[in-house]
Parts: sequence; C-alpha cells; structure tokens
Amino acid sequence: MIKGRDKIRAVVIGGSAGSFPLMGKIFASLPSDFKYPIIVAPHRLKHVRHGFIEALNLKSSLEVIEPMDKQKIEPGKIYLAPANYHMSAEPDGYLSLTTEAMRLSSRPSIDITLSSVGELYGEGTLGILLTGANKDGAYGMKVINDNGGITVVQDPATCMVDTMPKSAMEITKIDYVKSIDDIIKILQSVNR
Amino acid sequence: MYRFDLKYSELDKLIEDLKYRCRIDLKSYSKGALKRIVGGFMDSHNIDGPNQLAEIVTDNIGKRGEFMKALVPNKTEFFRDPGVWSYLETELPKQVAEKGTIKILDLGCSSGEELLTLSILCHDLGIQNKVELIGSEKYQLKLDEISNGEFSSKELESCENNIGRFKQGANFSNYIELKGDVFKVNDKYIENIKTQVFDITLGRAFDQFDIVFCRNVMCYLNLKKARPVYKLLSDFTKKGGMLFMGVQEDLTHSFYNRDFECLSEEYKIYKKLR
Repeated sequence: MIKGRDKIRAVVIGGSAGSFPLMGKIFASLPSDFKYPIIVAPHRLKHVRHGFIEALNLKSSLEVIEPMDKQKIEPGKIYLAPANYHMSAEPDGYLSLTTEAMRLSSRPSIDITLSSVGELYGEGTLGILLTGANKDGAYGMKVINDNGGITVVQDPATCMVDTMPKSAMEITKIDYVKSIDDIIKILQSVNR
Repeated sequence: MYRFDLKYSELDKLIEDLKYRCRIDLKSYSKGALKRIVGGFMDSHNIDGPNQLAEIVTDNIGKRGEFMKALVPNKTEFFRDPGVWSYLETELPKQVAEKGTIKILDLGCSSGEELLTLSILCHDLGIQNKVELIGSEKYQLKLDEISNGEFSSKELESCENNIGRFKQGANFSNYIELKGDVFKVNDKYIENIKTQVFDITLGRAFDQFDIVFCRNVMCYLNLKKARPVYKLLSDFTKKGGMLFMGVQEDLTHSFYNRDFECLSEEYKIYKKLR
C-alpha cells in the first residue's frame, strides 16, 4: 500500500538503456486491465528504431506504442518515447514529439518526459526512476514531487548503475526506494 | 539548472504581454515545447523571470532578435533519418529525368540543415542545376543563418554518423571546412539555395512544388493551429508531388489526408493524388 494511491491517474517511468530488461519485467507483471496510461522515457540509441518496442510487446499484456506526435493519451496503454525525439505530455492531454537539442546527451530526455507528466497529472502522477548512468530524470522527479505526485526510485543497491536514482534522491524528496519486485507490487496495488 | 518550473499560467501571461508589447505572436506553439524554449532562453541569458523577459525583449532590439531566433528550434542534424535520403537518392534523378527541372520547398527550414543536405545530395547526383531549392522560415534572422552556413563543431560526430548510415564510406568532411568551434558548409552547396520569409500559420501557398519538406515542424504547433497548416501542405504540393513529414508525424489530424497516398509509412513520405 502506498499513500495517495487512490489519486493516481498516470504512471511515468524513466531509466537508461540498461533498464530495458527491468521495464520488460515490469510490463510483463501488469494485468491486461491496468487502468492508467504508462508513459516511458528510456535512453536509447537514435538510429535503432526497431526491436525495442517489438521485444516489449512480446512480454507485455498491455499494448506498447511508440506514439505519433499529437497522439491522445489513453488509459491502459504504454507509450514509449521514440528514438531521437523528446516526448512530453501537453496540457491538452496529448503527447508531443519534438527535435530540439539533446539534454544531458539524451534525446529522448527523461527530464522532459517526467516533468511534463508531473505537471499535467499533478498529484495523480506516479513517477518511477530506474537504474541509469547520468543525472537525467532527477529534475523530472523533482517536478513530480513539487506538483504533489508520488516518487519512486529503484533502490541504488539493486541498480546496475546507481547515478540516476541517487541524483534524484539528492535533489528532491523520494517517497519510496524499492527493489524492482516491490515496484511491481506498487503498480499492481494502484490498479485496485 | 532547468527552468521547466515556469508555470503554464506565467507562460500564458507572457504570451499576452509579448503580443501586446512587441507583436510577437506565440499562440500557435505547442505549449510544452514553448515552455522549454522560453525556459532555455531565460537560462542562457540569465533572465530571472517572465516579467524581466518581456521587458528585455520589448526594450532591447538585439535581445529581441536573439529571442526570435530561439523561437525557431534547430532541426539539429544533417542527414537526419538516413533512410529518407536513400529514398531521395533514387527518386530525385527519376523526377528530373521525367520533368526536366523540379522545385523543392523546405517549409519551416529553421537553420537549414535539411535544406543543405538536399543541396549536397543534388550536387552528388549531378542534378544541382535541375533542382530549385527554396527554404522558408518565419524570421529573416533565422534564414540569414543558412547563408552563413556555419554550424557548431559539436554536431560533427552526429553528421558523420548519419551520413555513414546513409552511404557506406561517405565522409561529411568532404562537404565542409573546419573553423575551430564551427564548421562551414562549402559555398557551392549554399549558392543554389533561395530563401523566403513565410509564416506557416499565417500565409497562403505562394507556389506549388514537386517536393515539399515539412519535417518536424508540425510538432511545434498546437493542434488547433496545426489544422489549417495541413491544408497549406496540400496547397503547396503539386498533384503527383511528394510530401515529406517527420518520422513521428502524420496526416491523422488533417482533413486533407484523402488528398495523399502514403508511400513510406516508416519515413512518412506521401504522394499527392489530386
């Protein structure tokens, strides 16, 4: 049980390329009637446009989509940031895909996705930051926290590289520091 | 330090202020993107808040120019999406052989990376004298960057990477001259480019083109403002001509999508049917 779970309206997840197997494990554990949109920003290679989404769809019972620009956010779908685009949630409730400069050497930028979802859904945001090798995502988690959302990071002790969750813990209040199995339990609990 | 925490209410007030004070109309932008652009400008110019930004942009002509240039995000790369250029490498000679000469418009060309990539490709194909290249952007200040042809050397690695994927063994350094922190595209690739000031949210089609590039431009417009621009894309494209959009853009929201047949779902290349 986590505090404020009844308010959740959207889940946003960030992590570096190394978090890909963990994302697969998380999606494989979610029920097909999961009620909320899951918006995902992984660090990924810009020229590798295929394979990532196909692999996740094999594991997930929810549909995993690389959205088109201005695609409406709908419950029960997983939106994966496409290679070489920043993905953000717009105030009108759709996803925007833009090409401005990289942030922290990354496009997609985890900060951009996390912060925009945090602003759109406010206290209805559940933000999750997984293993990663730079500070991208820390600021996004701060915005989620500032807007009343719930923040969860992967326990640094269980990370392949712990820079990402540790950076978030340094600059903002993190509500829960959990292993992947416990993060899955949190997601299952908010769906009840 | 990021300025993502510029609130949407502050952004709305800034949009009104700038329209009233200096006739800069920002209402067409997708709000999330505009917030990042404005925040980034405030960061890089050490501006403390939206009120100070409005004052600076109103009172300081130089800063206003810099702000207007910042409002047009760069497309960031030469040879972005290598598959697009492979497609054109085959298509352009066919069109020139069929029509004699062709006209290409890059609508919302920003600082010109894709326009210059087109020029490089036409030269390599030996058809540069058969292709008229026109780039349009809403501010002359931005178009001036194309005639300078200078770009940050930080982008070089990305350019080399892209061109290597487009054509094995190709070398981007063949097309440029290194000048310290910047590289300059060789003059011959700049000389055959024409530019025209044009605001896609206000203007009407000024001509028709065999090929229209409008890649990663619509994504900076909000949905309400984007809808009329889809008509403009149709108006600019000759019957039988081709429209290139960004690989994550499409014509879903267009009332004119029946005017087009999709030739490449992967690269969002369309042919105008009527």
